[in-house]
Amino acid sequence: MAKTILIVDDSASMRQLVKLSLTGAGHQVIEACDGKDALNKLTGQKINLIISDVNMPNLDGIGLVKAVKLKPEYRFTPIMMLTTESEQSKKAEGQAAGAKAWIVKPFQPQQLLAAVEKLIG
Amino acid sequence: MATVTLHPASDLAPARLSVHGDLTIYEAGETRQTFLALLAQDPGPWALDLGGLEEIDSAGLQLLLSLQKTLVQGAQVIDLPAQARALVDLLRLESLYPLGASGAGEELRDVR
Amino acid sequence: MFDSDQWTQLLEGFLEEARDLLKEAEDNLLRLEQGSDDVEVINALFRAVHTLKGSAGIFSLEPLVSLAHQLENQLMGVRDGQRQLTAPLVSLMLQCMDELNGMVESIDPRHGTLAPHTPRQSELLVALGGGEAVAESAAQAGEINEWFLSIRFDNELLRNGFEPSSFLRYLDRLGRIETLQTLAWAVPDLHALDAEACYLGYELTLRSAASREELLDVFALAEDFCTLRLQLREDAGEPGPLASEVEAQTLAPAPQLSIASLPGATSEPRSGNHGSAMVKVAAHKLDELINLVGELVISTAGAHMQSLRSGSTACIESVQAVQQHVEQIRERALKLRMVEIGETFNRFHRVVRDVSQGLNKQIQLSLSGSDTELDKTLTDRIADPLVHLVRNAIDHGIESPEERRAAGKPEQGNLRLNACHDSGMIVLEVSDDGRGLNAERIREKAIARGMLDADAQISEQDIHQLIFEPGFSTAEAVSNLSGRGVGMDVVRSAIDELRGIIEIESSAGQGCTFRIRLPLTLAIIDGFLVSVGGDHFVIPLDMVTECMEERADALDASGHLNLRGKPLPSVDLGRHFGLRGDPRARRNIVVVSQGRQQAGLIVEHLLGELQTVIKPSGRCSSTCPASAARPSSAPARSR
Repeated sequence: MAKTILIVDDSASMRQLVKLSLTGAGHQVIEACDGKDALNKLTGQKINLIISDVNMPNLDGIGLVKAVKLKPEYRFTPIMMLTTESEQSKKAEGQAAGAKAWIVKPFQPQQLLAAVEKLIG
Repeated sequence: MATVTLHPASDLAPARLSVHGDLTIYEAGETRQTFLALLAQDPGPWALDLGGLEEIDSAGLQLLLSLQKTLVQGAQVIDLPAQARALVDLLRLESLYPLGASGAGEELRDVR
Repeated sequence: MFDSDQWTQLLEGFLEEARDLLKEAEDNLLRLEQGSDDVEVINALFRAVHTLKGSAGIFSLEPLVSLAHQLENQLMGVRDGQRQLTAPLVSLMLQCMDELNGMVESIDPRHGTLAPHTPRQSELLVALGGGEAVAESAAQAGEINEWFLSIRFDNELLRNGFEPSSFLRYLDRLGRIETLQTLAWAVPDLHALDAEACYLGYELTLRSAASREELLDVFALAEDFCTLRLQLREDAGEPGPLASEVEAQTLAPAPQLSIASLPGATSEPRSGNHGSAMVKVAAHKLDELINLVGELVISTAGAHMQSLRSGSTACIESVQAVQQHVEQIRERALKLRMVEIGETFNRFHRVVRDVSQGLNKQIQLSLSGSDTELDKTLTDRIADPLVHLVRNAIDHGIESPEERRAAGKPEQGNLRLNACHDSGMIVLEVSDDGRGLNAERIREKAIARGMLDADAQISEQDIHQLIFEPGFSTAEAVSNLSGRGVGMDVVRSAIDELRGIIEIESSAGQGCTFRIRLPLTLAIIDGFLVSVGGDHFVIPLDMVTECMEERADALDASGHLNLRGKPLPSVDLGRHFGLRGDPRARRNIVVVSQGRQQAGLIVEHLLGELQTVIKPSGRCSSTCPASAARPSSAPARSR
């Protein structure tokens, strides 16, 4: 079933890659270029999954996770982090905040899709 | 949002609970409260008319299972839309199947 | 997506990890062959190959992926009890690992491409059962099995955004869910229900060609929130006994998510005993540090001299404080480079296996002292000589099973590698229970080769040492393993270079032990400073056993001193190096020992302990006359 997925990344090419993979699998995609933009786009519509970068200007991925958990209508929305961050501390921080999946770039589109399916398939 | 209505029992049929909208983890807490309030009015049995469900997830199914356990003589599901049916199928939660495809369920529906 | 520098860096990380993984895989495979029944061994082996495959996939190294995949399939069969781990299978897997290693080495991190399969690789693929299936997907290559899964979810699952039915849908795509039971008994009535908590569990049977890892992977994202039991049913379709024991586990670190264990990313400890608090440092960086510490030791010694000369107490004291700290830094810096010999030792399982099979001998290798630490530089440089000694022991030392039976010995020969510390030295022993050295044959051969006078009177020890002379070989037939007349002399020169010595202890018919003694480290030693005339010498402090004053008549014509009634071979350093000593000076004897040998060094002044940095020098100290028992690390002039 088609899902609505919010992609948050300050790299347009990264958003493009993720978007292509997801739309190819029949999902709908909303794009945001950083955490702040993402919060602005969470206006009550149904979002099944948020896929977010960690390192972003304005509001980073961890901040976004924390903010999303505070929004009642999105508090259970699974969040998948896409990142090149390697520090365990960041990962632990993200997990504590509520990020579910943690995928390290580079990844292959199939790997991303598999993780998406496992979460909201 | 889930809209829940309990149609009182008649001589011919048990009370009928209809659920419209979504029954997901977002609505589960609030819906449970509603169910509890309705239970105070009518301890069951109920017929569950889920035909107006738009979306349901495991939390929603769990809530329905819990409701079945709580009601005196349980609850019979009389209608189930495609998406919820798919989930019930997947989870093989026989107790949530509509009462016999052409059996009791139909009868109840006729009565309604 | 990435610039080429990032890509190169990622690839380099991958290549390094791949080497480690293959090493780990080989070690574990050999451990398995030796009958280890530790489940963790096969699991670790499998994980290593699986992770290698997964990582290589990201870099699109297809030939590596397909070979690793076939290897993984075989390992899966072994793990799940469908395949016997026979010697030929182990050999095949080892060859496969060699080939994978070769592939890894052939990858240039600047480009990261891998040539398509070579004929050799295709051969291995066929042998591993891959055959034409090279292009086949993982699911088709595997056999279809029936799995039983029992899944219990944590209360917090739903609140954390997981939808359990998604996992089931995913499983259904990996195969076919044959039976499914949703465990809803734990769902309480409405009054007690926490509507956002999860009370569900599932038990299901799944027919699928997916591997255990793939199935575990499905739940990897939610590993903190579920407990999984996964069992393989041997006869799919027939409700027979379970093939493998019920395996209760919370999910292992997700292999598929080992994208997270890729270069740059921190990886979960793979086999548990590698603590997570490890930092990998390039060896050359450590070397630079140790070199600098060496310079620091020298300049501190200089500062100390200057402070003494200045006569300022305050200055002397502060320089002494600095010296103490430098000493601590030196100790710690050297420790950084210390590694356990175990890793080097473990390589010998493979060597012994290959060599003994080649010669049709049955050999049991036992290791002891694997936790003995020594300088990384030493382990790197001692590995080859050790290999030579081990091969030599298998080839020449241990007899064929028939000979052994005839001699009343067990058919299986024993080879032992041992390491320990002994008075500031590292001792490495290679012992076998074979036929021992034949002193008589060695002597004849040496005479025939003109290495020894026919009437020379030399001890058995010294005869043994002859095998280390260049061009000496007693093998009757030149085998392709050793005995080509090169080798033992190479062993000794390698050991000489490390300032070590090698001793032989042999007992005819009982066996033979080669004992290598090495200094703990190559760079900085605690020295004992002595002088003759104006020249200074440093003797490694560990070698010095005692000092005494020389009596006038001490040294006899054959170069021996009388040490408490025993003759002590001695060298007058002044005379030996042609130095002009101070005739009025009182002379002292420094007794040095190494191994079982003792010798006296006649010097003038004893100046005390001194930290000494060892640097390569152009002119090495010359050898002593053959009659004197020469400590092989003769004193070097200090700088």
